[in-house]
Amino acid sequence: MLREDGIVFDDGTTARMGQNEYVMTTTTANAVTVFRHLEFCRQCLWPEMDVQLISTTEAWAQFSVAGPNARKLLEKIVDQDISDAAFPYMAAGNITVGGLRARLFRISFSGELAYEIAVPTRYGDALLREMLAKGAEYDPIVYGTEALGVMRIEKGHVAGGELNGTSTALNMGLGKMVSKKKDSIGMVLSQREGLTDEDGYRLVGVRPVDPKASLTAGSHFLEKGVAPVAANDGGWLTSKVYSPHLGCDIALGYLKAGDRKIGQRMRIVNLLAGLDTEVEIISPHMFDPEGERLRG
Amino acid sequence: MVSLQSLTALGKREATIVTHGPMTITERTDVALASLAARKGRMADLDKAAKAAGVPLPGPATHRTGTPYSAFWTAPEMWFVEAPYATHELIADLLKTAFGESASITEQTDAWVAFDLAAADLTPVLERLCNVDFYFVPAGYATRTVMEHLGVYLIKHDLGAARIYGPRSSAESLLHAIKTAAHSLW
Repeated sequence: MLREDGIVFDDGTTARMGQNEYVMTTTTANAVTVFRHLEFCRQCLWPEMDVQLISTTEAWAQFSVAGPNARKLLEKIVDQDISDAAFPYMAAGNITVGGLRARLFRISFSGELAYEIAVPTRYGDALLREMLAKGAEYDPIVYGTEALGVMRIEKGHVAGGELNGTSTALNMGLGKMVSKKKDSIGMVLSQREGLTDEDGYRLVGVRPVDPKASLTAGSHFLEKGVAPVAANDGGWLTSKVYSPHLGCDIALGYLKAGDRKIGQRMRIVNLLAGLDTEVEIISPHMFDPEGERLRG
Repeated sequence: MVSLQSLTALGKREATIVTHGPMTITERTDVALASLAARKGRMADLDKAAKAAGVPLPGPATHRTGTPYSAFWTAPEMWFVEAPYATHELIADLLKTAFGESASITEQTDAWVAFDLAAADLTPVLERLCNVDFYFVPAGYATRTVMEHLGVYLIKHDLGAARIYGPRSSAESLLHAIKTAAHSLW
């Protein structure tokens, strides 16, 4: 979702639950602002549209179930056939859990085979306990945003550090998602000269040449051998984690002409942290780039 | 077969009842709730369907009681519809069948915590909780207002009976606010 000025406003999902019924998720922090934006669009921009909106956030307790055994676990919980053929990647629908009304979405923010399952809020506690008990043979654990943060950076999924109020879809490598064949809020102004510069910032992945070296978010990209001054600044690291899959620190960052610098070596400099580290610029899709795990 | 046990908004198996001085606060877990909004230009069809289904459509700032459906106005051509949970757990599905393409209907039951307040006169406690002139507004008055930091709906059944709908995830905070206001009085 873009702002009128072409800058990315928020990201989320929209699922079609019926002939004329959609459920939209937003980031937690932007739930209110997105709802307000939708109301503004409905009431002021397109009052002729036949659209009704209401928040349904608290009506449902929704859990992400992620990992190679996600489907096997959920098959013990839901009443319907959720095989890959019956419920493929990106499917969404109303289901039942022991006869209780529920919703299932096959979406993944972790990069793993994943679903989000929702039941009426009063049953949320019981559902989580049931999933942990019924799925015991798969050794399930409750995971939080720290673990999710690692997985989303490994996959190159943008979040708060990248959705910083100054970045476009093009900056994030998502330029093709903004269709130029139709109008949409932000499409026209996202095409401004300064925002479509081929040498502008692009999302890249970063890992240190020495796997034992540390990265720090906020560090700046510099070419090798240049002075650490603003004139030589190539961009910055937006998010950093230690990746157990890759065995080293990894990061996402905005690098000038970054899409043409994949495979190059640069420096990451952070004068405040006393850091000057040689890094390799890599694709932001650092783990399972073909998406085989999430489509499994 | 999976069988899930529900919890109340306050994390308990049974609805909470609190008595403080002359006032009783009763958590209502037995009310099903759905939003009802007219599709564009379909108000006449909605009105007809409402009459057939026995769903009242009160005017602005008003709640109307009925059996099994009660309703209160929330916005132009939009209402919240209440019904007994025991018989109308699938209230959204039931209303969709009744209203067809004339309305957009959304499940709201578990989005809210409902507290019924009862005392001889609730004016002193409600005038401490919100900016509604509870004494002077008529019975059947319903409005959106703010208690502490929470957006709520307040319905006046009569001077000694009111219902407050607050955001479910803030149930403890809302109950605390009501109890604190009562404590300052009694």
